[in-house]
Amino acid sequence: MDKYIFTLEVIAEMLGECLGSGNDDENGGVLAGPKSNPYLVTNIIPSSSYAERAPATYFQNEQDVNFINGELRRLQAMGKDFIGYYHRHPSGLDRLSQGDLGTCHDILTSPNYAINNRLLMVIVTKGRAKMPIYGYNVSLTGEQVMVKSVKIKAMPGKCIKACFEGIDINHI
Amino acid sequence: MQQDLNRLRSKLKNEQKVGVDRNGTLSTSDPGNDGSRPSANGNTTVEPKRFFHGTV
Repeated sequence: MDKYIFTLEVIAEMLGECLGSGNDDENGGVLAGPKSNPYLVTNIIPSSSYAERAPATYFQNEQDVNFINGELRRLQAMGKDFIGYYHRHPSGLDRLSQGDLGTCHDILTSPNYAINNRLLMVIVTKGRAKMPIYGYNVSLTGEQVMVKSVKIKAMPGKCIKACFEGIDINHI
Repeated sequence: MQQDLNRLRSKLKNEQKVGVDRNGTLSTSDPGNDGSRPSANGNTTVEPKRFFHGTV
């Protein structure tokens, strides 16, 4: 099982964003990290207020995506890039929904995503795990969407910067 | 188990980065890049996307 390391700051912001809204609307955003190591998640770009949120679906519309791409450009100038998406499942579903899989297929077949056929999808929901965060590696084999669970570990951002940037953590 | 992270870092830092194609085969370049983009992986531009919480 692949292993990703998230900064504690990313975990805290993701949980605050998804579970701190006080309502049952879906919510989410983009995960990013250093291009030198696709298994490190060091930055989060939550959707803006332009995103369309509802209890059953969440849509990053054109205006929201403009905002996210602006933030992504800033990170890309620092050698980082998009790794995947996170979003909340208010229903408690701890895996990707059928609709999510269709979205994953669109992403993996789009030339605008430079992700080497490896998309990290994170679901935030109150489930059985100690941490309400479920990670999945999604890839395409032919036209079939393949989903594999991943381990998510958390470390302070400063420790990650000092120890792991430039290293494939799955070798550790 | 204790590990000397400095030693590990210097050992692994020089390892070559690899890509993976749709069959899971490792390669030294991005199989999704036909060479029209500036670097091995280029940069991502996200598109409008919809996410769901159930079988909708």
